[in-house]
Amino acid sequence: MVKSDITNVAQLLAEALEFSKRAAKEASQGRLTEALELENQADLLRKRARRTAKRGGGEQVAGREGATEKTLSIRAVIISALGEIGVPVSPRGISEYAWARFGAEVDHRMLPSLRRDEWRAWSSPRAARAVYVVPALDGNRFFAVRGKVTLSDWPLDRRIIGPWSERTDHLNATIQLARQLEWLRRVEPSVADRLRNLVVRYAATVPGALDSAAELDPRRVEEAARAELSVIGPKDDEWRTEAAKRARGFLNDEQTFWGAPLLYVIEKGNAAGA
Amino acid sequence: MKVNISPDVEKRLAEIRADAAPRSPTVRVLAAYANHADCNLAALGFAARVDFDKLLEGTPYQVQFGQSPFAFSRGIAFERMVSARDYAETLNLLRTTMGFKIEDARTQDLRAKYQSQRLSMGLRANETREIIRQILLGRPTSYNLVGGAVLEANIGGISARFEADALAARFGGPIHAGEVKSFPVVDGRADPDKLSAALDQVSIYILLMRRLVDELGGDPDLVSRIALLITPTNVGLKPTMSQKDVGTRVARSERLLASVPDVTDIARSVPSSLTFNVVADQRADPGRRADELHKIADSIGTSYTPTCLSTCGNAFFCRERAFRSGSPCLTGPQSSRLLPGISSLNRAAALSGGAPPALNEAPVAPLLARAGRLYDAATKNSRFKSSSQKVAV
Amino acid sequence: MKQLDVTLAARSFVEGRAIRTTLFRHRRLGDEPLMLVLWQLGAEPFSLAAASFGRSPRDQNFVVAGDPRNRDLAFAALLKMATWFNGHFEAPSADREEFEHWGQILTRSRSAPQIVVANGSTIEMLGRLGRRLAYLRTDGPKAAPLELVRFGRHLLFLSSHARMPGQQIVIALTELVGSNWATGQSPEERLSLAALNAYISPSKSHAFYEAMKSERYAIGPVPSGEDDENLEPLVEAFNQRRSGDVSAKVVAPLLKPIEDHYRRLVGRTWRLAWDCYERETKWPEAPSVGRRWDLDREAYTQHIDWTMGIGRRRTRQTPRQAAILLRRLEEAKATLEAEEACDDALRMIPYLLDGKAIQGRVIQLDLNNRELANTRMVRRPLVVISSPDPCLMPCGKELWWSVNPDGKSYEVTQVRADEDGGSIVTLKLTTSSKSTPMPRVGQEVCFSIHTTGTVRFFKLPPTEPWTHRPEAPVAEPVALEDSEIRS
Repeated sequence: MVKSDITNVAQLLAEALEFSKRAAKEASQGRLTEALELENQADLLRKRARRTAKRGGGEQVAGREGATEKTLSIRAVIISALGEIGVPVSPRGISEYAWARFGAEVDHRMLPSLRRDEWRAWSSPRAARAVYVVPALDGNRFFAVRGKVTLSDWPLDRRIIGPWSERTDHLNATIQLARQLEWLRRVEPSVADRLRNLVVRYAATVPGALDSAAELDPRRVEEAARAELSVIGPKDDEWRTEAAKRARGFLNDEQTFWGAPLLYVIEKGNAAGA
Repeated sequence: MKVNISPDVEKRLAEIRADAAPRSPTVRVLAAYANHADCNLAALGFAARVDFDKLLEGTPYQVQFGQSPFAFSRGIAFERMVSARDYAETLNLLRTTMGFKIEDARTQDLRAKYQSQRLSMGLRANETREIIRQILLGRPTSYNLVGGAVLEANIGGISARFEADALAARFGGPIHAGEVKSFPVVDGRADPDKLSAALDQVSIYILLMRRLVDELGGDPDLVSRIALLITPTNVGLKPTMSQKDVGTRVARSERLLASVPDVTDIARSVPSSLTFNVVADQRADPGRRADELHKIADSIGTSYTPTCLSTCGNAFFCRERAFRSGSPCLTGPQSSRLLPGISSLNRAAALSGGAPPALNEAPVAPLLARAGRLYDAATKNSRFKSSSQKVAV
Repeated sequence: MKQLDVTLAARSFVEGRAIRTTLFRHRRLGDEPLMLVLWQLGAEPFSLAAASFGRSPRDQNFVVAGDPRNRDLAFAALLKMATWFNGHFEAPSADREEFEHWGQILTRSRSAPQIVVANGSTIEMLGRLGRRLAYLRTDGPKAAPLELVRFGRHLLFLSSHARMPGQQIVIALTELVGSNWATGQSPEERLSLAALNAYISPSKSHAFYEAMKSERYAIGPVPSGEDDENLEPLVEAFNQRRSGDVSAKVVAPLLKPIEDHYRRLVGRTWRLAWDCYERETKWPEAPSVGRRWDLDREAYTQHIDWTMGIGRRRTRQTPRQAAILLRRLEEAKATLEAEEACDDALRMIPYLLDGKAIQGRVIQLDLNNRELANTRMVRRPLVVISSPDPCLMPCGKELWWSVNPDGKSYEVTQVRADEDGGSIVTLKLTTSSKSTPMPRVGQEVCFSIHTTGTVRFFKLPPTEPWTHRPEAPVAEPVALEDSEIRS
C-alpha cells in the first residue's frame, strides 16, 4: 500500500471516530435519533476504510458504479471531494471532481442550500458534526464568498482568498489531481480513465504540464505546477498568513467559519473607500 | 455614482411606461439605440425604459428576435469554459498572447464571488472601482485579471451598470477591456457583423473605464484602446485571444453617449397624457393597441429606416406606417436621398408618368419623367412578356 | 440605387407588385442545375444540419446529420451529399473541346455544372464547409474520406468563383431574381427570397402584405430561433437514445423526428427555389451570355485539372495575388456592365440618365467625310443623331455604338440643343475602315461609353515590393478540427 493509501485509511478512521464520539455524546443526552444518524455516518466511513485497506487502495465508489448497500450521502461525497482536492473549490469544480473521481452526480446548484443547512446545523445546539462545509472568505472584508467552498477543519489562512489565491489553489488542486491519477492508474484504472480528462483540463493552463504529442504524464504535470507555484506560492502564503492574523483580530468564532456579514461591508461605505 | 432624476420626473416616466415590460439599458440596448438616435419614439422608449421587443406582443406586429437555443447553449458552454477554474484559460491566453508574466497571476472572478445575490451588481461595481484604484496606485497586490467587472454610467440621467467579461492589466501596463463571444475566428477572420457588434460593445467598456480612471485621478490613457476578444478558434471551442484597435469606435461611443437626450427633457416634452398603458395591455383588442401607438407616433414622431427591422421591436409597426403613407423611407435611405422634395412614392410614380410637378418637386421631376419615359419606350417596343408575366407599365 | 431603380420601386409600390427591370436574362440557366438547399444549426457556422440536393424539383435527395456538432455524424451526412455532388459536378469535365488562346491550343469542358442556391449566405456556408473539408487529413487515425476532401475543394472553388462578376456557375436566387425585378422593398428586405418572391407572384392583395407573411419564414441556412427551439428537444432525445453511438445502424432509425422537422423547412425552400429558378428561365438569354459562359467553362476546367492534381491553395492571399485578383474582378465588372447595357435596352437606361449614353434617330450620314490626319487626308464618316433628350457630353468624348461595342469608337464633334428640349449630336467614326458596321438614316441608335474591346493586360513584377512582403512565409492552411470533440 502506498503512503497516500495509508493516509486515506487513517483519515477515514479518524473521521469515523469523530462521528462516533459525537454519537456517544448525543446518546448520553438522550438524543437517540441524532446519535444513530451520526453512527450511520461513522459506519459508512469505516466501511470505506476497510475496503481501502483490503484492496490495497481500490476505493469503492458511490453512485452508478459498484454501489454499496448504502451509497454515501451527497454531503459525504462533497466532503470527500474537498478533502482530496485540499483547496477551496467552486461548486462546479466539486461536481466535476465528484463525477470524475467517484462517479457520483452532485448538482452544483444545490450548494447554496447545503450551505444554509450546514449553517443551521452548526448553529443548532443539538447536532454536532465533525466537519462542516463552509464558504471561503474574502481577503479584505472576510465576508463569505459565494463561488468557493472549503472545509471547516482547514486552518483559517487556507480558507481566505487573496490576490494570488485563485491561481495557487488551482495549481495545488492540479497537483493533487495528478497524484490521485497516478495512484488510481495503478489500483483502479477504470476510475483513472474518468479522472484523466479532468486532469487534462486542469493542467491545460499550466505551462509545460502537457506535451501535446505524448500521453498525459502525472509527474510532469506535478513538476510544471510546482514550478509555477515556486514563483507565486510564497507570496500567496505570506499574504494569507497576514490576512488570517488580521481576521482573527476582529472576527468572532462564528464569523471565522461563516464570514462577516455583508451588511457590515455595505455599511462601512462602499469598498471604494478602502 | 448616482445622478438624481427628480422624483416627479421618475414618476412621470413610470406613468409613461405603465405596465409595459421594462428594460434597463444594457450595452445591447445602448447599441440598438445608436441606430435610432434620431427617432423620437426610440428616444422616449429608451428614457422610459420600455422594452420595445415586447411592447407589441399579441398584435400582428410582434417581432421574433428569439435566439436559437443552440446559439444560446453554445454561448453558455464557451463562456463557462473560458471562465472555468477562475478564468484559468483566459489567464493562459494572456500569458501566451499578451506576454503576461508568471507572477502576474492575481485573478478575481467577481461573478462567482457574488453570484446572483441581491445587490450584487452594486457590490461588484464598488469592487471594480477599488480594483482599478489599486492598479492606478501601483500596488503589488493589484489584480491582473478580473472577471465580471461592473462599470457604472449615467445615460441621459439614468444610472446604469454594464458588465464587462474581462478586465486585464499586466503589472505596470495598460488596462484592457475584454469580451467573450462564441462566434468562431477562422484563419484570423470572423463574421464581420458579429465582430463589429462585439467591438462596439468593448469600446463602451473602454470608454467607461477611462471615465472611471479619470474620476479616480488617473490618466485615462492608461486604459488601452486595444480591445481583447476571446472567441473559439476554428471548429470546436478552443479559445483564442484576438486584439483589435478600437480607437475610432471609442470616439464614436463617446459621441453616442453624449447625444443621448436627457431623460428629464424627454419626460417634460411629451404630452402629459401620453402613456404606453393601452399599447402594452395584452388583454386589449390588438387594433386598439395599434391605434394608441399610432397616436403616440403621430404626436412625437418616428424615423423609420429599414435597418430598424433588425434592431427595434416596433419596426413592423413603423414600416406599416411608412407603407400606408407611401413614404419614400419605406424603400430605404438611399432612395429617399434620390427623391428630395417628393413627399410620397405615389407622387414619384405619378411624376415618372409625366404628371405636372409642384414647385418643390421641380428639381427631381424631370429625371423621374425621363426615367419613366425611357422605360415605357423600351418596354413598349419589345415582346416584353414571359409566358406567365404581363408587363407592368 | 439610381434614378431608374427608385422610379421603378415607386411604380411597384403603387401597383402592388414587382416590375421587371430587364428584357433578357443575363445568366445562362441550364435545364438541370445542381440545386442545393442547406440548413445549419443556430450559431454553428460550420455545421450542416440538413440539406436537400437534386437536379429537378422531383429529384429531391434529403439528408440530416442528427447532431451536426458531433464530427462523425456531421461527416456522415456530408459524405452522402459529397458522393452525389462530386459525381454530378465532375462529370462535364470529361467532355472537352479545343480552343485557341493567344496562339496556343487549349482544351476546356464543353459544358460546366451550375449550382443554384437560395441566397448569398448559402454561398458563404458552402465556403465555410469547403474550408472545413478541403484540408482534412486523409491519413492517420482520424483519416477523412477522399470524397469529402474533394468535395471541400469544389466548394472552395465555388465560393471564390462566385465573386467573379457575371459568373454563372453559382447562382444565388436572391441575386438573380433581385437583379431582374424591382419591388417597393428596401435592399435588406430583398435578401429574403420568400419576401422578394411574394412581390412577383400574382396575388389578390398588395404584395406588401404577402411579403410580410412570407418573410417570417426562414429560408436557410440560418434557422429562426423558433425553429431551433422546436428542434432542441428532438436533438437532445436523439443524443440520449443513441448514447454516444455514431454507427449508421444505431443512428438511422433514430433520425426520424429530426428528419420530419427539417423536411418541412427544407421542403419550403426547395419549392420556392425551383419556382423562382424556373420562372427566370422563361426569359430569353442575352447575347453576351455565351462569351461569359466560355470563361466559366475555362475556370471550371482549370479547377478540375488542378484539384485532381492535388493542388493546395492558401487561405489568405499574398499581396500579389490579391492585387491581381482585384484587378481581374474590376475588369470583369466593367465588362459585365458594358455587355449587359449593350444587350439590354433597359440596362442602358441608367447610363442614358447619367449622361453616359445617348439615343435617338439617325438623321444624317456622311460616309465620305474627310479630314487631315498627320500628312494625309483620311476618311472619317459622320453620323448625326436627333435625340429627344438633352446631351451634356463634351466634344471629344469617345463613345461606342451599342450594337458594336467591341468595334471602333466614335467621337462627339458637335452638340446642338433643339427647340423641343432635345439635341442634335454629331459623331465621327475614328477609323476609315470600310468593314466597320454603320447605322442607316432613320435607324434608332444608341451610343454609350461602353466598350468590350480587348482588355489591356498588365504585368506585375514577379515578386512583391519589400513593403508588401509578409514577414514570414504564409502558412499552409491547417485542418480546422482540433482535439475538442463534443457530445
